[in-house]
Parts: sequence; structure tokens; C-alpha cells
Amino acid sequence: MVNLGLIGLGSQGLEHLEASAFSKKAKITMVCDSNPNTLIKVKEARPDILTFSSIEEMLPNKGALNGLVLSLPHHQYGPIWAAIESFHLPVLKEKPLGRNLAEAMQFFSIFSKPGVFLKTAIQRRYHPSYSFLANRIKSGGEPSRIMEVMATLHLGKKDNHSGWRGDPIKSGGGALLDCGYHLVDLVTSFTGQMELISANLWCDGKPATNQMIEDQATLYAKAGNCWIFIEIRKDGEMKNGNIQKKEEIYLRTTDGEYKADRTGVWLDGKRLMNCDKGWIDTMPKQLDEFADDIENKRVDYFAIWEQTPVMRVIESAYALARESFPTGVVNNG
Amino acid sequence: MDSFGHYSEFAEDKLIFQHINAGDDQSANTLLKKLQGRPAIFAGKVYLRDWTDKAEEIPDAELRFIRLGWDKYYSANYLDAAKNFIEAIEVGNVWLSWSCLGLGKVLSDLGRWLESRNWLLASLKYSREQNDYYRMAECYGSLGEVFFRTGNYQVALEMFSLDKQILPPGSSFRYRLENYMAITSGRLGAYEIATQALWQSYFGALNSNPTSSWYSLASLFTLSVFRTDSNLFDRLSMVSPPSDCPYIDMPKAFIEVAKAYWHLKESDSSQAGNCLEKAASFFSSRYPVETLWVRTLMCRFVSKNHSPYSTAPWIDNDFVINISPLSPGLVDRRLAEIPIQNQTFFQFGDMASCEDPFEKWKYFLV
Repeated sequence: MVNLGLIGLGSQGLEHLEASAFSKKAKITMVCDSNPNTLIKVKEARPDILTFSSIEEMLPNKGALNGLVLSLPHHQYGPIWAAIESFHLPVLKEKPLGRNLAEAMQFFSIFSKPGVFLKTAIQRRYHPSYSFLANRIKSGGEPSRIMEVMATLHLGKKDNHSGWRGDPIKSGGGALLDCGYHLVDLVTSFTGQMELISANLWCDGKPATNQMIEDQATLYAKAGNCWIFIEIRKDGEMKNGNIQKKEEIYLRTTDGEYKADRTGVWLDGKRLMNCDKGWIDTMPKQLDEFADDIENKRVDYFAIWEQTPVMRVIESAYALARESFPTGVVNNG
Repeated sequence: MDSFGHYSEFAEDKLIFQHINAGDDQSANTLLKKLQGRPAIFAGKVYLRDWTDKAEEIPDAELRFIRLGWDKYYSANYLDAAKNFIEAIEVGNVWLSWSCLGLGKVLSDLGRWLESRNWLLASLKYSREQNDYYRMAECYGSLGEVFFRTGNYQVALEMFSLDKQILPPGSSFRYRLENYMAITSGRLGAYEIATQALWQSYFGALNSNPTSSWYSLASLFTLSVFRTDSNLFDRLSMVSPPSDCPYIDMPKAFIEVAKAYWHLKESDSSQAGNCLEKAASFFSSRYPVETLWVRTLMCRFVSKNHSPYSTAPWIDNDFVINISPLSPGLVDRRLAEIPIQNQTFFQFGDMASCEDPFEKWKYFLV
């Protein structure tokens, strides 16, 4: 069992904490957050966990840790990165790798040193149904050829602009960077590097300029001769007065048309696998893999490079979408 | 024709395609002139729609019907154009993306938007299978028009954006698409973005494509009406666009309609009438829908003596198409699911009774 320190107890951080209870190989033994109320709640629920209000406080205890899990607002990594480095521990960082490719490379360069490594938490491609589909496509005498992909992710949230996520500098972006990262990564895991053709970003139903946080994004891309459409929404379609969540991917292949979501995989409408508790398994599995890497001293130097195509697509999408609408602030006439 | 002659024609055909794909219409046209007098079996002629030979002499039936269809489409003879495109689809083999596109565009101009969308999606599927990017760009642009006219502005903007990105760098259509994107942003209520983008297009195209600048200007005039922004209108009235450029009847007409609107705001129906007369003459029979609209405006605001309906002899367009288009490809499937309905412009037919015929302006991509 490896011992992990968790830095950042926002909603994503708490999910990591919850997941560690189901992990077979990793245990979160220390947490760090600047919010005292959050620390009190964690302490009450998990008295076995050490709590710290700053990284500096936590640092002297690094000898009891085997790795760190970072789950902070996007803009808070830069200032603390030197402190993180001084732990000299393997790091699992919540996605995105950086707010942009340059920042990602800056973080990564520090963790290219011997003995430490940096991984990014990307859950989607590890989900059982998507893993099943990936294996299915790659297996057999001749792998399926993918001709078209349509991927959709609707988070089903009402609120788009609150907190640090509402600040373009702090967040680095909205729906595309946050949810789009997952979807672009998932699609890339099937198709390989995609080349962006067109990107549209929206904020409250209007084109999003670079001063706005997009709540919706649509991308058209190609990977080889495979055409790709990706739609990301912070909200979703309305049904019976409620915003609907949606997450699905369709692949038109030489086998037929596959559909996959968190509940299973279908080929031409016929169910191939069922996945009831899939999502619950995914985060513990991710921690298990991180623990495996630490225990076996398996430094997957390429795991981060694997994400640079995703970062590149996202960065290109922002540039492309804003090429047409760089700013919305002019005087009338 | 000897084998060398065949070779020569194919070589010219290849070059025409290359020039078109690079956005070099001038070189493509120069080559096309060399082909005059020969039956236009060359795709390049259809691309540029600048043919002088007789379509009836084209030996290949499918391409002949398509050429005839486009001839009639550009003469606003929509019913015969539709007939030709359907004939082309019925004998269809290698040019199906072209004939489906033609039928889709005819149906769009007839206000049969639901069917138009389906045929355009079929064309898109054929185009994608054949890696025909130029046709794909046209399909997405035409779908953009359908979604625009049916009030689905967000997806319309996506379509125009995609059309623009698929076009090769340097294509002269880029200016038009930038205008379309700006106009659609305006319809979405992003007026500042639209205004900025249209001024940018106006000045950007002034030297290289003054016709496009005229369209930007007409769209700015339209914005002045949509925003009821007399300040913008006054500024636009001081602009002097280049006068010696082709194909500017359409933007000139819309500018006259905008002027009429502002004259009516000042209760000057006489001046408004003059402007609308000018607009009607600019639209003429080449733009029957727009002419019908202007005649309706005249009937409503200036004089009851005008009959709007005399300009729309093709209003009875409910011909039945007995063939079905292909279902759309996966990446375009959601476009087939966006709710729209056939709503012929003419429900414009009851324009005379509608509250404000100016409101119909929203249907025009300006």
C-alpha cells in the first residue's frame, strides 16, 4: 500500500479522497487545503488522516509519503510548483496538464528529473466501457478502421461562470479546457492525433470572445481519413424542465457503428457489454495504477507526452474560434 | 479527337481544378476561355459557373442535367432547375454530390427548408466519400443558409465557420463567409461582434474584392435597422464604396430598403417610396423573393397600388419529389435532428397581413 498526500480539497479533490477508500493499493494519509472548514469536515469524517493548511506545513512530513495527488484550481499550480518540486515525490495532477501548452511544458520540465514523475488524471479513457471498446477495435486479426466519430459530453450544470472558473486568466478556459479535455483525450485514444478543421465557442448562446468563458464548444476535426465531431456543453438539453446530462461516443467503423457510454457498449444497436458501476471503479483504478507506478518505480516518461496532442488540439481550437471573434468590445458604429 | 487531344483536355482540366482549389479564379478563368466552343464536360466550368457553351450538347446525361439545373437555378427558374436536378439524381452515378447540392439549394430558395436540409446532407455524404472538399464547403455553407433562415443561428454560424475553414487559403469565397458569420452573430444578438466584423470585412475587401465590401456595407445598414441605431445609419450614409464593381445589385437594393426604413421613421413616405422603387429595380426578376418582399413593403407603407404577388409566378412550388435522399453521415447526424419545418417564405404570402413586413428582413442573409 502506498501512502499519498492530497493537495486541494475542492469537489474533485474530495472525489479522490472518496476513491482512495476503494483503492486496493493506495491510501490517502495526508491532505492539505487552505479552507479550515473543509479540513474540519475531513478530520471529522476521517480522523486517521493528517490535515494541513499549507504546503509548507505538510512538507516536513514528506518522509511518510510515497506520492502526491494535486487537485487545485488551474491558476494555483504556478505559484506552488517550486514547493511541490521540493517534495521530490511522484505526482498525479488533476487535468488539465496546464492552462496552455507552454504552462504544461513548464510543469513537465521540472518533473523530467530522475526519481520523480508527473501523471495527469484522465478518467474517461480508463472507464471500463471505453476500455472495452478500445480493446474491441484493436483486437482481432485486422483492427477495425474508424471512418467517423461523434462524441458528446453535456455536464448538465446550470452555473457556468462562478468562482475562479469564471475568470479567463485563472481558469485558462471553460467547457473546452475542462470537459473538452476529457473528450478530446478519449477520441484521440481511438483515432490518434486529430487535426482541427473548425472550432466554435459559445457563451450564453453568443460567440465567445477571449474575454468570455465558453459554456459550449463544437469541434470538427480529422484524423487521417476519419472525420470527427465533438460537442461539449456545461449545461445540456432540457427535458421535463430539467437539464439533462449526456456522455456518449459513436464510431462508424468497418465493423459497423459502435456506441459507448458509461453504461455499456453497443454495435449496430446490439449491446456488447454492460457496465453498471463503471464510474465508481474508475477513480480507484486510477489511484491503483499510480500506486503501481510508484511501487514498481515505473516512470512512464511518455504518459505526459501522450497528452500533448490533446493540449495542442485545445490550444488550436481556442485560437481558431477566436480568430473570427477576437473581442466583443467596440463602440457601436 | 486523338489521344493527345484527350490528354491535353485532361491536363487543362487538372490545372483548372488546381487553380480553383488554390483560390486562383483568374487563372482558372483564363484556362476556361481556351475551352470555349467545346462542350463543357469539364467540372471546372460547373465550379465557376462561367460557361458559354450549350449545356444541351454535353454528352453525359447526368452532367448535362446538372448543368441545365444550375443554368436555371441562376436564372431563378427554380421549378425547372429542380426538375433537372431530380433527373440528374435519377440517372446519378458519379455526380450525385453535385445534383443533390443543386436540389438542396433550389428547395432552400423555395422555402422548403426541411427537404433542402435532407438533400444537402445527402450531398455532404457523397462529397465526404469522394473527398470532395469544395463540394463539402458548399454543402456546409448551404446548410448554414437553411439554418439561418429557420432561425437556428447558432448552428448556422457553425456551418459558415466550417465552410470557411474547409475552403482553401486564398479563396475569394472567404470574404462572403466572413460576412455571413458576422451577420449571423448579429442575429444572435452579438451586435458589437457583428459590427466590428463587418467593418473589418468592409475595409479588408475594399481593394481586393470590392463586391464583397458592398455586401458588408449592406449588412451594416441592415444592422442599423435591427438595432434601430440612427447613429450607425448616419455614419454609413457618409461611406463611399467603389462604384465600378460587378454584381452589386443585391447589396444596393438592401441599402435602399434601409434608407426607406429610416425615411419612414421620419414619416417621409415619399422618399421611402423612391428608395423602395430603386430597391425593387435592383432586385428585379433575378431575386424574386426579395422583390416580393419589397413590393409588399411598398404596398403596406407607400401605396396600395402595388401588387406584391405578381412578382412570384413560381409561388406554387409544391411539386412532389418521389425519390429519397441518403441518410446523413455520423458526423452530420445531429444536423438532421435539429427541429425545423417547411415554412415556405410565402407565408410571405400573408405578408400583406403581417404586423410588420420589415420583420421578414431576418430571412435574408444580409
